[in-house]
Amino acid sequence: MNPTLSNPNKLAEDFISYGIWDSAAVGQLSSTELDELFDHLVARSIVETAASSISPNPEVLDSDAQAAVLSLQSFYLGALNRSRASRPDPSSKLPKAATWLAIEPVLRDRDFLIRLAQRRLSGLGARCARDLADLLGVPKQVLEDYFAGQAGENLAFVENRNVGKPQDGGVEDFATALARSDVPDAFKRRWLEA
Amino acid sequence: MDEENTEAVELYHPPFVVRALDWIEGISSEQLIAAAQIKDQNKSGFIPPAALVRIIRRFRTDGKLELSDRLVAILITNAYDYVRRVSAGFDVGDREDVIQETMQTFLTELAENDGIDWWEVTFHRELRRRASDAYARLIGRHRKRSAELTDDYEFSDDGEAAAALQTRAALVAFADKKLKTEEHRRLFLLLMLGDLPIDAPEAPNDLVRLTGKPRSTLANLKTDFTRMLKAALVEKAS
Repeated sequence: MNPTLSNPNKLAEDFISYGIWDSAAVGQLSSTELDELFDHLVARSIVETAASSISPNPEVLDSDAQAAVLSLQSFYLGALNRSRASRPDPSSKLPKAATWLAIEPVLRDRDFLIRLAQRRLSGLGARCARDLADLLGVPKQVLEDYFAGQAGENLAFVENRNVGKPQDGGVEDFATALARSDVPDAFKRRWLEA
Repeated sequence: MDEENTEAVELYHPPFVVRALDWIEGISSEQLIAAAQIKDQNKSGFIPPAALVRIIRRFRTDGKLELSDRLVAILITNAYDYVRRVSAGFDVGDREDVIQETMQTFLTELAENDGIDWWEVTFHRELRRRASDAYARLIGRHRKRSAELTDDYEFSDDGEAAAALQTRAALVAFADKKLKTEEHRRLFLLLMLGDLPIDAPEAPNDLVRLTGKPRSTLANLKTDFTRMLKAALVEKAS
């Protein structure tokens, strides 16, 4: 299957929102895939049209809707309990490379992330710790305790590709490393001003 | 500034979410609950749902489960109401299934993920995507059941279904070239590909109610679209 078309909802959204339509790729679709794409086009049109004409502010729910909401609250608590059973302890997550590399699509600089995870950057501000805890999904206190540990200690990283970065094996100033990194400007501004 | 006015393409908190997260740092739990209950997004203290998702996860990972659960109840109520309203154009028989599937998808992701995801960036857009996904899946299931029934009776349509698909593909390709605004593309799809009637007061829904546009406007648009299609076909043939 064409990877572009493996997500017909995305294709439908691109068409409706941006007018992008890849006729050549669509021409290669099977009849089942075409059906699926048209279902998405119509569904998406209905949803976006309804959304464009409603007030953004919520309405008061009737008794049936309130009952449905209560049932959904129970559903959420059930899902939470099920996921908790398999969720690792937050402090055991931080020494693992996978935990940090999961936010590489957000911070966009693997080398910076690895040095951060290895506790080789000194002088992190409170705002950075808050944001990192949110991005990683761990309590802020757990993250701060982790950063208070010895640099490079107990880390499961086998790779440290600090290309063009100081190879002193020691600790570098956080602000200097951040300024040089490819981390999005939105984070740089927030983390450097604190 | 809110989600609808932000072109969020990166997976990190947009400024309106960051502002809300910074603001809640200095308030009490009761003040936070009161703020989360504000429904009018133009009112001071309003917390956008994308920020509320982060706050719920933050309190949950910090072990403040009671506060997190109270905020979840508020968020579910508002999200349910939003999904219900954007699903208003779906067939009545399918609507509740779409709402349930959309909400369950959202709540599963809310429960299972502690880190950032798109619910914390473009909350309403994610709900709309999940709703159209759910509806398209539902229609797909309906079609599959019909096809299975048809197979039982060894029915052949002499290629009619394939021809209909080609026609629809040609319609969309046409719309891509000729229609320049999002609203026109949406209306084109609804008028030329969708099943909803323009104006049917006795029916559970119609395009007049869905779009909020008068019958005459929609009828004229359909005539215009048809005329444009004919002109394009003549142009192609000559």
